[in-house]
Parts: sequence; structure tokens; C-alpha cells
Amino acid sequence: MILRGAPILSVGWLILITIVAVGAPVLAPLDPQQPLGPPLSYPAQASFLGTDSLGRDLLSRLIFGTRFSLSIALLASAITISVGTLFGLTAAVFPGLFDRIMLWASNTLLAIPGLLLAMLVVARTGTGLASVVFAIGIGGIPGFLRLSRALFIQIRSQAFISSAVALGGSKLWIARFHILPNAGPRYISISTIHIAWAFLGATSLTFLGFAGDPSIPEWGSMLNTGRSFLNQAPHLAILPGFAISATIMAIQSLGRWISHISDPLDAGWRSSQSGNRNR
Amino acid sequence: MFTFPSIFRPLWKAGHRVPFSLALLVGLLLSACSSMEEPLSIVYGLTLAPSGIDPHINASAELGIPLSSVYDTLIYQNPDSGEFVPGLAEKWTISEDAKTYTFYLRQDVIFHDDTAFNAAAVKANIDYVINPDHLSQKARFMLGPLERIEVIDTFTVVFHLREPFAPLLDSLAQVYLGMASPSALEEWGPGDYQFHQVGTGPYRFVEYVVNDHITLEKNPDYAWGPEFFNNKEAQIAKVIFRFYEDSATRSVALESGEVDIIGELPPQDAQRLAALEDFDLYPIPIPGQPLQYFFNVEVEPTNDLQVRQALLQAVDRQFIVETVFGAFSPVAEGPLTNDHFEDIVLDPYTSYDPEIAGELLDEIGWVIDEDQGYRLRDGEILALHLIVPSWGSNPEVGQLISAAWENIGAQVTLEVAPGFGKLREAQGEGNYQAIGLNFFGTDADLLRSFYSTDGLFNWSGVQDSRVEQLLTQASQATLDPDRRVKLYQELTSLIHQEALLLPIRDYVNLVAARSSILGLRYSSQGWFPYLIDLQFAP
Repeated sequence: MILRGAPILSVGWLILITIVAVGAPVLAPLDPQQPLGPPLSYPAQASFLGTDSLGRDLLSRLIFGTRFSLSIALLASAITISVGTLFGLTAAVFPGLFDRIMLWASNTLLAIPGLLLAMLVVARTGTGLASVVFAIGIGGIPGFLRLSRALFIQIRSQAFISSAVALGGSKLWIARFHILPNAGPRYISISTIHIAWAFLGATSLTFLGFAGDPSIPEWGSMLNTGRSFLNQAPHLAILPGFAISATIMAIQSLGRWISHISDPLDAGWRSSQSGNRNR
Repeated sequence: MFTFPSIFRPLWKAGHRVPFSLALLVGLLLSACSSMEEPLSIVYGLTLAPSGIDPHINASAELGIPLSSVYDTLIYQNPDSGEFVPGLAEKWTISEDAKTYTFYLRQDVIFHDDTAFNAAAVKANIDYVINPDHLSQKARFMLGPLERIEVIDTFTVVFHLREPFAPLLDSLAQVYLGMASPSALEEWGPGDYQFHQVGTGPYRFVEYVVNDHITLEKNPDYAWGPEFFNNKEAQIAKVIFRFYEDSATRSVALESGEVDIIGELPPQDAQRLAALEDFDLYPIPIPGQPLQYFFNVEVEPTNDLQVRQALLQAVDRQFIVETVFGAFSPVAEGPLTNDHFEDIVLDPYTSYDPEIAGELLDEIGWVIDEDQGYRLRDGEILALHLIVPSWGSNPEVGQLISAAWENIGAQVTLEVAPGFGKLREAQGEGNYQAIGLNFFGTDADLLRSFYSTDGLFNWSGVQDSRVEQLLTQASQATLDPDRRVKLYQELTSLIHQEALLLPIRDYVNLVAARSSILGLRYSSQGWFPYLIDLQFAP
């Protein structure tokens, strides 16, 4: 059974936040931007989780936060994965100079941690959600390029590719119809694990105030604001903090599970989860 | 390498480590206790690491907190009565035409480096400030239309002005025009002098390590303090200033014993500390401008007076102040703070009424579009861009203002400018309907750089001959304080009528100190403590 050992809790959490993100305007009981009364009020009928430090409904902000945080991470990952795959694949099929340049460039950039690279980018582009997406998207490329290149090269060295070359297949055709499809599940797995990284990176940047407008309900910036009220209202920081951690862990474990079920050599993966493939 | 004297070595080697270490520890504790009996120093938490701390060159309020006790000024302002009283000048006279000020100096004053204080020293200081190569950011402008300084004899000095300049005495009573040792100024020059400051004040400057600390030590020779100092000499031998830029860490630093006094506490922490027995809370009103936002009259749609009036009416200032600042702040009623400028009576500012605000906008064609949920006129959305500084609770207030304007159908984008440089940059681009900035000061002439057509901070873009005239007349009415007050009163009404400004709250600096520290007082400017009056509870 393919679902054996599936991380049920993680998948459940991810389905839940996806539904919440899509249906935010319907699900949120109140406007996340408008204050409704005194700040830091306790949970009451009008406001299920009470109000935040500026008197806005905390639950509605968390619900809309799902939408912002998730879409920033997904958009950023889309940039990283498409650019990283393109370069990784090209490097794999053109093993000469191009590969060496790619390898050299990504190794150089890998010396700078991805998050720091993202902060360098955002320092140039200025604050704002679009900047955060762009910065995290760029910041993840070197690492992702390395991973996808390794994966593609591994496939390239297999016998069926040599056969395809012998048959006279062009490099483009081989890449499109042989390498890419056979990367399949492993490729999905590294992409998923990358999304977890992007999520962490994006919420880190918004935590540091790079989202620009502080009234945007986004988990990272909500966590940062809540930090000042740990004494009076710890839930202001705990709830977005929990949501961020839970989401990252859920995406990670989903990615690992995909990686293990797709690896035929890795039978009893649950007992051998020692290696951490995350960067 | 650290080695033990040979007689200890057998002890150390023969498995006696524990008792030996214990003995060391007890010894250390004993020596610590003996120094705790007589606490000689305190740590004062500063909130912002300034870019430079030369009072003649740099402009921050932060630098004055330590340095007000390093320098004396020619005159002082009594913080209780507001009167100007003798400082390094025993007395002074102002000529009939208000263009010549003569100062008669004290003859018994020496700088920390033993240089004698005299008229030549005053001239050297002022020349240092007005030297255009030194690029003074504040002190130079505080001297107004100063023409030259004349040394009459060893202890008499004359300031010649081109025009009357009413704020001059106020300027001379501030640390930015404090008297520094001319030999030290000459030896180090701008840039380096900030690390080697020499004044005449109750504390000597010992050390400044950038972004880390400033250390002051008692000046044992001090004997020329103004009459309103409670102590004749400093009671605490050493004061160390450290920086706490992250507001969330300030109360923690105080409670953990890292600092003894710290300012600019977030309201929620101040409230909590006030209830604790070990700490005292000092809410210090800071005179000058309130937390405020200028409307840009040079762009659509805020070039329309009625739009500005509607935007004023849409904001519940009372609610914002209660939400963000709790119980500690008065709501602002105009372009000057009420506490210090009580002579200038401000008419109550536009009150909160979102319905009237909506009607005002309806009248001039900004009507709610049901599909978009925003107000439109000729197919264009009522779009507002609000830029706020990142400090002083501006981001929180900005969020509530933007929510209030959204509430009457405007589409608001909020931009937080991190740091003054970024704020100026964003302002320079001109793409804003409202922008926040406020300065502190004890003279109403402060308004000039904000409302005069070519004022450095005329971020409203106001060009009004009536405003200009009132500003000039008021700054020259040196000898007629009543007329000055009246002129400023007219000016503040005009600013209100033209709806140039959205004032939010008068600034109150929330300072907390350990209860064992007594005598904490501040100058009229609010920021600057008189360290000489501090002492430990008996």
C-alpha cells in the first residue's frame, strides 16, 4: 500500500491550512485590518481568540495570515524551482564548460547562506511582499541547483540514457523525455523540502520587518509584533509561531516521506531516518 | 599563561581542587560584597546609538543625555519656572534693537583639562560651530542670524545678530551650544573630538566606544552649577551609558539589574514596572511637536482642503492614543505640545466623526463604488500613500490611521521608512499623501523649518504668505513675549484651518529607575537628566 507510513498529521495540517488560505475571506469572522475595540482583550464572543495589540481580531488575522505566508512561500519556491531546474538540467546535459561554470557559481553562492543572500537581495530591492518573494526565490537557487543537478546527473549516467544517445537522440529530447520524467518522485521530494525552506525564509524576512506594511496580517510579522507582549499576552506570539513551525515540519515530513517511498532501495525508511536532507 | 605560585602547586595537584576553588570563590564573593556596600556607579540605558556624539556637530537628542552633564551652558533654563538663569554667564543684557547680546562671564571656572574658561573660549566654541567646514547639523542653525562674536575683555563677550532672533537664549541654554575646552577642540578637531570631549560640567568625559558605551566620572572641582541644582557636587562617582535599541529588551535590562535607569519604555512594560515595588516610573513630557502627520498639499487628492478635512475627521485620535500608548499620553491638539507651550492656547482640533467625513467626500464627488468598495471620482480610486518613520510607535499609529481611512472608503498603502535616511529619501520622491515626522524643542520657532516655504522639513509643501509672515514676525519679537505668543497662536489656528496636519499625541518619555535611586530630574527639553542631582537612597 502506497500510503503506508504516510505522515497523516502533516498531510492533515497542510490540507487544513490550504483550505483556510483559499477560503480566508469567507472563513474569517471579521476584517483583519480594522480595530474592533480595546487591545489585548481576552477571548470573548465577538472575538474568538481576543484582540491583538492594536485591537484587531486575532483569529481573522491568523486566517488571512495563512493566505499571505503560504502564497509568499509558494511563489518564491516557484521561482527557485523553475530557475534551479532549468540550470540544473542544462548543466546535466551539457557536462562541459557550462556545467563547470554553473557548479562554480553555485558553490561560490553557497558559501553565503541562502537566507543571507535573500537579505542582500531585499536590501537592494526595498521592502514589500513582492521583494520578499523575489529575494527568497533568488536566495534558494544555488542550493536547489546543486541538488537538482546531482539528481539529473545520476539519471544521466544510467544505461538507458546511453542507449538513447546511441540511438541518436538530441540532448534536448533526452532531457525532456528521459531525464525529467525519470527524476519524478525524487524531484518532487527535493522540491517539497525546498518549499519548507522557502517558508522558513519568507517568515524570517517578514519577522525582520521586510514585509513593508506592518498591517498586513502575515505570520512572521505577527510573531515579531507579538514578541513585545510576551508578558501580557503570550498567545500573540505563540499562535503564529506555532503555525509557522507546524507548517514547516509538515512540509518537511511530507517531502521526506515522498523521498523514501520513491527510493526502492530504502525499504524500512522509518527506522533509518538519520540523514537530514534539508539544507 | 596563568601559573600558580609554587606553594599552591602541591595543593592543586594533590586532588584538593575543590576546596581550593571554594576558597577562591569565597574570596571573590567577599570582595564583591565589599564593593556592593558602597555602590559607586550606575548604568543608564540609552535607546538609540547616535551616528556621532559631538554636540556642536551632531543633532541627536540622545547625545544630550550624557553630555548635558559634561558641559555647562552660558545660561540655564530653570526646568520648574521656565526662566533663564545664570550659568557660565553671571548676567547678560540685550540691546534695544534686540540685535546685540552682552554676556558677563564667571571668573572662577576651569575646564576638565585645567584650561581656564573666558571670553576667548566662548568665541572659540561659537567659531567652531559656525565653521562651514564642520557641517554642524543642529548647533549652527540654533544661532539663527548670528553675525559675529566680539571679545570685549577677558570675561565679557558680545553676540552681534543681523536681525532680532527671539530663540537665541533658548538655544544658548542647550547642550548643543555647551562650552568645550578650546585647547581640546583645537587638538582633536571635528570627527575625533567626540571621543575626547572636555567641558566644565559636573561630570568628566572618560570614554566613548561606538555602539557600546559612554563613561562619565565625577568632576571633583565642580563649583559653578546653576542655583536650581539640588546638589552642589555629583554624588555618584561614575555613570555608564549603554545602548538598548530594541524596545522589547529595555524593561528586561532594568529588571535583570543590567541598567539602573532606562528611558523610552514601551507603554505595556511601563505599566507593569509602575506596579512593582523595586522600580519607579517617571513619565517625562517632551516639549516640541506631537507625533504628527503632514498632508501633502502638492498632490492629488490631498491638495483639496475638503479631502484633508475629511481625513482629519475620519481618525479617532483618542482611540489611537488609548490603544497604542495606554494611560500615559495626552491627545495632541495642534502643531505644538500642550505641556510646554501652555501660553499658546490651541483651539480643540477636529473631532472624530466618520459620517461627516464621508459626507464631505460625497459633496466633492468622491463616492463609494459598491463593486470595488472604495471611493471613486471620474473612475479614479481615492488612493492614499502614508509614509511613517520606523521609530516612536509610528508604525502602530500608522496602521490605525490607515485602517481609519480605509474605513471611510480610501485605499491606503502604508510604508514604514526604516531610519531617518530612508524617510528623507522616500519624502524626496514626493509620492505620498501623508508623512510623519516630529521634532522636539522648547521654542516655538521650531515650527519654522516645517511650515516656511523653503523650510528644510516643509514636507506639506505649503506656500502661504500669511504663514511666512507670522513666522518671521514671531521670530523677531524678542522683547515682546506676549506678542510672540499671540503670533504663534494665530499660526497654529491657520495650520488647523488649512488642515495641514494630523496631530496624534504629545510625547511622553517613559523612564523607569530602580527605587534605590533618588533625585532623577530632567531639563526643560525633557530628554536631558541632571546627573548631579542623582543619589542613592540612604
